[in-house]
This record gives sequence, C-alpha cells and structure tokens, in this order.
Amino acid sequence: MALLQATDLCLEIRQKQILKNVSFSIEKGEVLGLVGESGSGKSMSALAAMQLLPEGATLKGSISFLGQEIVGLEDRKMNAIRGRDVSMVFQEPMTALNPTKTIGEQVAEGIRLHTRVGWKEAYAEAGKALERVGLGSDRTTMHRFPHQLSGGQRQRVVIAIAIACGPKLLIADEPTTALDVTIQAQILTLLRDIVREQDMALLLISHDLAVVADMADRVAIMKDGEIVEHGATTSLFSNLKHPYSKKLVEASSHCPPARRKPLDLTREPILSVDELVRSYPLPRRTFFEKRRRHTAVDHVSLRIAEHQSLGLVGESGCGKSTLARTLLGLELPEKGSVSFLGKDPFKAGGHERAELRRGIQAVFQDPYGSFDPRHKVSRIIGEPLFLLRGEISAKEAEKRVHTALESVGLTISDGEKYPHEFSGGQRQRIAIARALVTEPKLIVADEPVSALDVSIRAQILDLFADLRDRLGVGYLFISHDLSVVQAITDHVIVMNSGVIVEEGPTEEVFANPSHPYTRLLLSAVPKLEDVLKRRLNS
Amino acid sequence: MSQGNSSLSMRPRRLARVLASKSFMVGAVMASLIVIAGVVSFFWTPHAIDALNVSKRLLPPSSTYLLGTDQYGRDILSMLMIGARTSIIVALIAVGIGIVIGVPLGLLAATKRGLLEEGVMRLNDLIFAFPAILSAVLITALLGPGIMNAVIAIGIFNIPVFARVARGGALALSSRDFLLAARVAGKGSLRITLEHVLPNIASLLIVQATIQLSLGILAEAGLSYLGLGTQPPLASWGRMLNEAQTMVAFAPQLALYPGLAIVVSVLGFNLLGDGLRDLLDPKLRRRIA
Repeated sequence: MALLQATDLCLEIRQKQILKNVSFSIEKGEVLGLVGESGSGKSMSALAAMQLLPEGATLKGSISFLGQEIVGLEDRKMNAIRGRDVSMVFQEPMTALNPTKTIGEQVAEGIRLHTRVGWKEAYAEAGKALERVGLGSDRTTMHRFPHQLSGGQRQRVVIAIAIACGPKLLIADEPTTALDVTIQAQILTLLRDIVREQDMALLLISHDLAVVADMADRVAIMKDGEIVEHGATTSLFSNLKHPYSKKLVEASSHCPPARRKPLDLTREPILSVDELVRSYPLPRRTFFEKRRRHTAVDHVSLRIAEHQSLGLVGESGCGKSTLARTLLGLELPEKGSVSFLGKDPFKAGGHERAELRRGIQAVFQDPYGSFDPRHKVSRIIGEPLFLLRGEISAKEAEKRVHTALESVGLTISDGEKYPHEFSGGQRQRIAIARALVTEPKLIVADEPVSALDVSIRAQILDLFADLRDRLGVGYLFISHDLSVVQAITDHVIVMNSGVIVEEGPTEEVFANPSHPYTRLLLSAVPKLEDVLKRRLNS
Repeated sequence: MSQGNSSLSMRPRRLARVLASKSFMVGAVMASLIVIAGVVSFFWTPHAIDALNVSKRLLPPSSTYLLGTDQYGRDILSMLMIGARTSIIVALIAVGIGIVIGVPLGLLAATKRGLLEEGVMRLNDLIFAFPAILSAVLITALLGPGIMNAVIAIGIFNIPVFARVARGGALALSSRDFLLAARVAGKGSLRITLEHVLPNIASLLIVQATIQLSLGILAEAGLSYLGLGTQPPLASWGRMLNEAQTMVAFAPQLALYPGLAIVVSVLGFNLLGDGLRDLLDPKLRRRIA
C-alpha cells in the first residue's frame, strides 16, 4: 500500500480550476519529483496533501495517507498528522522561521507539540535534529536567532524542524530556489541523506529539471493543473512522449544561436573600468566603535569591446549588483576610474553626460517591480528618451518607441496597455524595449532571466542573441546562473566577495576553470544530461 | 495565463466592490449629507440666522421651523446648515495646510535621507509630542480667538501626519526597480518624485486626508465650544453646543441637534476613510504582486 495516495484531485479557487484530475502516489522511502512551470499547480498539490489550502478553495477527490482519508478531515485530527507524520520544507527560509524565537526553541516547539515531552527533553531532541542537519548541537547554536544565520543555515534549520518528529513523508517545495548554487548542492545532499537514512518518503517540488532528475526516483511533469506525464526518472527522461515535456527539456538546455559577426577585440574598448572600489559603512556595534566598512567591490578592472557580451558570475553578496549600479552611474565610485566611450561619466556634465547615459542602459531582474504600475507601456518604454529631450520631436520619440516595441516582438497596440496586463516574459520584453529605445551601445542586464520560467527564459535568451546580431549591442550580463552566462556571453568574469577571481573567454573558462571557486561553482550546478548519464551508468 | 480581457472586466468589478463595501457606502451617504447641507447654505437657508427674534424663541418643530428655534429665536436647521459649512471649510483648509506643507517635507525626507531626514522627522516628533487640541487652544488663546487662527492651529497639527504618511509611502516604493530605471533614464529626484512617487502614494494620502477631515471637524467644534474658534454671527456646531449648555435642563434638543451633526460628520468621514482604505489598498497590493 502506498504511503500517500492522491486520486483524481480537482481544486477550484474562486471559480478558477487549479488542479484537474491529479493523481499520484508515494511509497515509503521513495522520492517523487513534481516538476512544472509557475502556475502549473505543483505547489497547490503539496498544500492539498497537507490540507493547508488557501481560503475559498474547494477540493474534490481523495487523498489517503496510511489508509486514512484526509480530504475533509477535521482540522484537529489533521493537526496531529501535520508536523508529525507529514512535514514541509518551504522555499523562503527567512519567512518560514519566526524572527523573534531562537532556532532551538523553534525546533523544540514542534517536538513538544507532538510528543508531549518536557522542554528539557524537547531541547535535547532539537539539539539532535540540528546536529543531524549539520549545525552542531552546542548551546550557542541553539540560542541563535534566524537573522544571525546565513541563507543556507536557515534552510538547514527549516529542515531540522521538518524532520524533528521523524515524519514518514517530507514535502519540500522549491527548497533550494532561493539559495546560491553552492549552497543548493549542500542542501540537496543533506535532504537525500536524511531521506535515505530514515527511510522517509520525499515529495520534491521544483521548476528545475536537473535537480528533480538528480533526486527523484519517479517524476511527474505538470502543466496547467494536470500531470501530463509521469514515470520512473531514467525511463521517463529517456523516452519523453508528451510534447510539453519535450519542450520543457529542450528549453532547459536551450542555447541561443552563436554570434554571427566575429568580434574585433583589437579596437579601443567602449567601457573600461580600472581598479574600481566601492564600500558601504556597516552599522556600529557599539556607539564608540569606529565605523567599519564592507568593501562590496574591491579593485575591479574590466573591459568591454564594442558588440561584446561580457558575463559576470557570482553568488549573492559578491558585489556584482553594486558594480552594475556604479557602471550605470547610480552610485559614485570611491576609488578607481570608469571610462565609457573614452570619457569619464562621473566628470562629464550636462549634455555630454546625457549622451553617455544614453549609450548605456539597463534591464533589471524583477519583471514585476521595474515598471510604474500607473504608466502605460508606451510611456514606460519612452522614459529613457528623456535623455534626448530637445533633440528629437514628439513624433520621432513615438517612432522610436514603436521600433523598440517591434524589435522585442511586441505589437504597437501593446503600448497602450498597462504592465499588469502582461505575463512575466512579456514584461521582460518591455524592459528590454525600454533599454533599447535610446539605441545604446551597451546594456547592463542584472539577472534578467532568473525570475522567469525555463521556456520563457529560452525565448528571452534568444531575443538577447538576436538583438546582439541585429543591432550590435554589447551586454554586461550579470547572473548567478552559469548556464545562462555560458549560453549568451563571449567573455566571462567570475567574482567572489568583491574580487575578480577568474576571467577569460567563456568557452575556455567553462571548459578549463583554473580557480578553485570557479570549479566549485561549475561542479555545484546539476546538468540534466550529466545527471541522466550518471543515473544510467549506476 | 488568461490576461486578455482583464482591463475590460476591471471596471464593473471595481464598481461592484465599491457597492459591496458597507463602511464606504454608509460613510459616503453620511458625509455627503453634511457636504450638501453646507453647500446649499451658501445659496439658501430656510431662515436668516442673524436676525434675533426673541418672541419666537424655543419654538417646537413646525412646518416653518423644521427643527424649531433656539433661545434667541433663530432657526435651528439654518444654523446647522451654516455650521456644516463652517466645519467643512475649516477642516478642508486645515487638511490643505497639512498636505501642502507636510507632503513635500515627507517626500524630501524620503529622497534626501541623512541629516535632513533626521531633522524633518524629529521636528515632526516634536509637534506630535504636544497634545493637539490643547496646543490649538493655546495658539488661539495667544493669537486671539477667530476662525483664521483656528484653521492655522488645526492645520499645524496636520503637517506631521501627512509628512509621515508621505515619507512612509515613498520609502516603501524606494526599493522598486522602476525608480532605478527612471534614474538610468537621467531623471533627477524632483522629477522622479513628481512623476513616479507622488501618483503611487496618492491613494494613501487620500485616505489619510479623509480621516484628518473628520478630526478637523471635531477640533473646530471643540475650539468653538470653548469660544476660541468661529465667532458670532457665524454659526458653528461647537458654539451651538456651548449656547445650549445653559438651557440643557429645559431645552435638551438644542444640544442634541448640533451634537448629532458632529457625530454624523465625524463618523461619516471616518467610515469613508476606512472604506477608501479597504478599496484602495488591496488593489495596490495586487498590482505590486
């Protein structure tokens, strides 16, 4: 008998069909991977299994856990199951923990609730759980607060809470999406070990095919609230039947076409940065202490040739965004110099400054936060034309907006809509159109595809490649995602804690990483083909 | 994702939500009753109120005097209408003072940060530290009683309220990428504030203004009751209450009517503000999400 058996789940939230006849089952000690893009209903399936669906949701079908029907089970009885027999690891470790309680208390809380032991014993158990997730059980760890831990450590605490009562089923909803790649590898290994050791079942939900293929025994691929294909991992991936699953696999390893025009690296670079330094003051620990500073960018130098596309890779906090902001003129450099088109943008004044700014535009990460919700798309795209005020007529400006819209694959009538009427991928097209409208030489793109689903990501990468060939724009492509950088750039820089640790032509760096940090980064990213090859061989 | 017709279906849904919001509807009805009475009083009142006619004092309600007359023979309904006008004008100007001075201060504090922000916000704290109505009494006592001084006294205490709301709203927006995008487009802080920040915090300010309006009406009534606000012959609810005080044993209706008028207007504007907050806020949240 299966540990958890979900049959014909149909879920409606406010008259909207979220799940359609979803059935899946998990055996004891088995890992089931649930893959799909945003809105495919994978998280809702997990919440249904926990009976934690949002208000106004109506669920039909049946979920049996250890032979007991839990759909429609009263909350009091469900509480006994939740946390003890079934527990959950959430995506965002910061918001999943209570900031006002120590981690020891938070782990012990669940133990006390379900086993009715005293605080002392619960604390001892909590110590064991924390030790199990690699945090050590000494008193100092137990007494720390979530904000004193790093993202990876926080996720370990969340896992400790989940496994503290020895559940039979663990549900992990995108457990590593908010983490850096090197941390992701650690957390996945931890999850795998725990599940194997305690013979737990794991329902792993992810948008990342490689992660799921690496971890799961069986995989179910979801689209629009339906499971389109499922089966044992290796046989499923080697013999995909449904067109959507094929498309998904293709998109995840998608590589946009290579550059058509060769680069001329002998010419004067359009952007050169020399020994740039930027630091931030840290808050004082005591009133009398001298203010310490955190150096975000530490003596960084780089060159970008005309039409070149440069990748900047690094994990969160490595200073890549600070560097980007300085290049965009949003922050002053402390030391060092920046020269764009042969001029220093921080010394140039008035007209010249506007001209330099026009040549370097930006695409931001968040396709939802980067537009004023009260402005129409045409006004949003036309905003950088402010740099050309007095030089072009209103008619010319309108023409430029139309050209920009068309070059990113939108129609002119889209300009009359508001940003909330567009999907994530379309919004990122709008953001690119806004960057193109001044006909810049260089676009600084800060994590432009990391918030997008894989199929949309492939389209946007193609668009970047197309614009590179068609309009000859250069890119500074900032990303934590190595595959994205590999796909689109000619040259790559690897940054770690404010310092460039390695740089070189993209192919060379990826084929022959010389710095240990680069090697670590590369080995930490699971790749679908490699994973499948390894599984077939073992 | 089906997003094609979301703009089309937006409007009827919003109207439905407005009608469904009880506090908004009740508040709107009550507030508009007061506003209409005040506006009508500019052109027409049932009777003139500056003519004292002692022979007609303390008449019960009749077809000529709908709510009866007071101890000087003035028509109570007419006085209430003119009182509504006074209250609303005083409260409106006071809120205006708060917005015109407070909002720019708050936005300035949010954009410039640093020492200037500290200065502005501590000044706000200083004003907040004084009990508003007592200080208004002090100001009007110092400057002399009168409607202008009452407006100034109430207005001063609206400044920090709006400064805080504006600063809070602007800071919440400050991490959004569209402000960065505007800076990449070469726009200065002033232009960004006017084009992007102000329109996006307008709903917060409208809600706050509605609530401050009700507080302004209450403050005006309080000052006039103490004889420091509106001076005769202009009618005011606060003064009507004051004058009714001596008669309360044998003509309690004289105190009842202005009291009710104050309750209806304060409750009305407060409910309206709450309703507006409910209507505007979720929309704002959904747009962000």
